[in-house]
Amino acid sequence: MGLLPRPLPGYNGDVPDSGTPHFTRKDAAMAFVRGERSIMFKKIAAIAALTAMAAVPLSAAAGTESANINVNANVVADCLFNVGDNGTYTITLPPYDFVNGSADTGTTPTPASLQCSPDLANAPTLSFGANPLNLNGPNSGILQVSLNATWTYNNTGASSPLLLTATAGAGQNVPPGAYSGSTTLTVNF
Amino acid sequence: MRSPRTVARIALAVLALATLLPCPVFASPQANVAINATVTADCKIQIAQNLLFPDYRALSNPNPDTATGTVNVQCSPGTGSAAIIGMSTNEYPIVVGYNYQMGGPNNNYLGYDLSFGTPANTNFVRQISVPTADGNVHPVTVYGYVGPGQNVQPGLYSDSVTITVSF
Repeated sequence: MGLLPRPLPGYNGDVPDSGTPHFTRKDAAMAFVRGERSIMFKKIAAIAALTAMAAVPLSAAAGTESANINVNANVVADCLFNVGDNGTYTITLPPYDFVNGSADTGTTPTPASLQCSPDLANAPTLSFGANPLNLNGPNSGILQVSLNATWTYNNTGASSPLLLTATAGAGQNVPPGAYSGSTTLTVNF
Repeated sequence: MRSPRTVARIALAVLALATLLPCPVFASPQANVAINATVTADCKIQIAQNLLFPDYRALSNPNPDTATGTVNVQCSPGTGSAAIIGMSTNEYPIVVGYNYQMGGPNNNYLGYDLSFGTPANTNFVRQISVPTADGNVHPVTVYGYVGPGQNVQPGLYSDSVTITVSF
């Protein structure tokens, strides 16, 4: 039976700190039963002279504490038209002659492109809001054009050319003049 | 030779006498025990809120994606020096222009940065001093920043950053 108190752990506030001498009342009672009064009193005297000691550093030392913070983000599929003209691709058809001309086709004057997220499970598709599209002209004239978009998905995420065409079928006998119309082009992914 | 009855009488008499004798009284010994303990300066850091960025659209959103988290710091009252929150070494050089990156599907990485206490998209505050002398809990906002235009494969991206308070 040791007489030294059990050392207290280094107290830093993280966990409860406690400590008791190893010599207990039970020890004294057992010593009395055994008639070991001298031993008992020696032990008690030893306890009286003892000061419980905590095994802590004599001086406060600098330290560090750490915690992990989780960072999460959800990247969603995305696509982007390289539309530089107020978000509109403009197609201008050549002069249309319903008698002598054949189908009239026009394309975007500058190279268009479309870029999408890489490694999409399904290649994005393109669709027009209205196709064919009616172009409105003078005297309630309507010139109908069909629209087409040609684009190949690049799964590296790089942009690839986008070709837009509008074709006015031959034989539309409409009042001469300027015709115009618009619709939306949507990439579905 | 005494008869058994006599022996029994003597035994009863001795027993009765024994019960009348006073019992020995022993005083309970007492001693003083002094307890001493040294409380060392300590700090506690807890993550109150992780960073969860809103959906990130690399192409159609020209603005950065931002999120905030919260770290609570509490130190022993009377701490002589302020606690410093420092960034860990959980930093990757793969994504150019960012100090951190989140890992995603197929070894894709999304670069981001963190700033303590001050939202920033250029000058990131990597460490700050936290007043600790009052012993109270001090929340520190952690600002996250994902720059636009990182065209990576869609999916969930994540990272874990160790934040350290030194005292």
